[in-house]
Amino acid sequence: MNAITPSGAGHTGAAGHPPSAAAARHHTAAQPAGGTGVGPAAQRAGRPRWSSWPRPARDGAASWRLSAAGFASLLAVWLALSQALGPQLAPGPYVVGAAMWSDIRAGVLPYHLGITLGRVLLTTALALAAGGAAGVWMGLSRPADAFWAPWLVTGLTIPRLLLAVAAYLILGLNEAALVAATAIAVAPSVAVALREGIRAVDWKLVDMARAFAVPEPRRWRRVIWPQLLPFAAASARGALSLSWKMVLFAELLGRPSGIGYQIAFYFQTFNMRQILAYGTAAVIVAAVLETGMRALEQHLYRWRPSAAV
Amino acid sequence: MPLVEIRGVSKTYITPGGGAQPALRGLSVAIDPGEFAVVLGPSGCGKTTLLRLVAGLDRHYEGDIRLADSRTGFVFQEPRLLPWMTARENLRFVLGGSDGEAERTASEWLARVGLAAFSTAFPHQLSAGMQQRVALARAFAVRPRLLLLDEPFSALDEVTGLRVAEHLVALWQDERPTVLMVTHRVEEAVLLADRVWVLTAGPGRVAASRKISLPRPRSPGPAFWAEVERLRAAVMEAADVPIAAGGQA
Repeated sequence: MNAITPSGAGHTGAAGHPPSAAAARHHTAAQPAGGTGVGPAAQRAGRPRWSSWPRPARDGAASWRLSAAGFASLLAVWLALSQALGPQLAPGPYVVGAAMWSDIRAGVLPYHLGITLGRVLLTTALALAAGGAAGVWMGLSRPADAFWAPWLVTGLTIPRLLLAVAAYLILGLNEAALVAATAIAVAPSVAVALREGIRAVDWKLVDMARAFAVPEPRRWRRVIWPQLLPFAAASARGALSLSWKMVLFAELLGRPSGIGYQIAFYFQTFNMRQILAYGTAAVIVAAVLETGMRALEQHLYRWRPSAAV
Repeated sequence: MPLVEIRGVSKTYITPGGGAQPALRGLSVAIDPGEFAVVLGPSGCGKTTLLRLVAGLDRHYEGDIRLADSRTGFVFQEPRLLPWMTARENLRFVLGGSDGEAERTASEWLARVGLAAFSTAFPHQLSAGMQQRVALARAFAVRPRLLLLDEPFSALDEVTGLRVAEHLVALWQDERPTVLMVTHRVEEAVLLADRVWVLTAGPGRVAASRKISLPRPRSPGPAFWAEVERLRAAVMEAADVPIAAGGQA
């Protein structure tokens, strides 16, 4: 602070306007000479070509159009495959949709879908609880990290097929085996994410809370947990996705109910239409869950600069 | 009776290689209630360490630190606002009491630092100076008997730093908490302090103590600059104090 005398200038801009307004003014001033007009030609002259590419975070309508186009292309490929391979090997979307509707009306599909969904949610919750607790512990304690590291590496690399088969052989063909195999398969990836989350925590903020004598439970709830949330949300999405695959596989291998069981049943009779009907139903539910989680994340991260623009 | 009494405090850090790095050695300071005390010293002399010890963030030290009242507020070099909370929520976070009362207190303090209109803004929507004013309001909102300031203007440009300092002086004169501020800027010390403690280069210990008797509000006139020169001379002298090597805390 060599010059003590306040000049009286320069502060009002920062105090009176949010930074974004100043940034917007600066951006306008930085337009090239040829780009001062607002017509399309002027815009083309002043911008690099790629800058018109829609940015999903800011251009909702364009993003929806692209998603719709992507979905249409998926259906088109399905139709083309159906035409090429024939309805026995690759039934088209309409046939599969009709089969789905028929089983929905009969109550069979909702029953099996409900059972699978319950298993997925239960195993995901267990994996998040166990893996999350282990990850936080490993992130906070070097000795715990060193001790559990070999377990983690083994858990991450062991083939899921082996886990499912071993669980059925050890525990029998029952729900406990399915739940144990799936939770064990999913938990290590959750633990890794949460361990990295704890390591990324800004402990200066925790120090601030300690300096103001904020009680420890509140520090965890209001300072540490919000920093862990992105890691927890990402690992929850990954866990849900992995649980779907594991549960379907375990049902196919050794359960008398669920989408996996239905797929195995229709595999015996080589009924591709029904296999695709149940597979498509599973994909739709997984997509709905994924969309819901994305929306929840957007709500939770509304304080971030990109979300606030 | 002093509000803060620091007697013979030494602190040694253990380096990653297992060596000893002394930060403070036998430091003694006493601060009277309502006094604005500044600890002045070069970078690395243990100023921030001293504040961490007084705030109770680090309890591994030798010596004795006595606080007559443990209600403390802290303003750090950087604002340290929780980015997922609005300005008002950041104040509410450190306030006890009922929700309604905390809400009123938070709003009142934001108004006192001129940020009433920004109470629902998130930190990233505020300028650096505004963020530091929120941090200042947060520290005063807990009605501290002792206010700890760790170079609170060092991350700001000079003009913004002066504006925040003006807010600080105004709030301090209204509320009269005891202040312990650390800085390496001589002008800041003369502008704000009742008493300045000059530390040696690390490991820090008190080399000189000087009372600043300039009338308030202080402005940079001849008397101000004369005081700055005298204090600067004391700082230079302190920097030349020979330090015994290998001292253990």
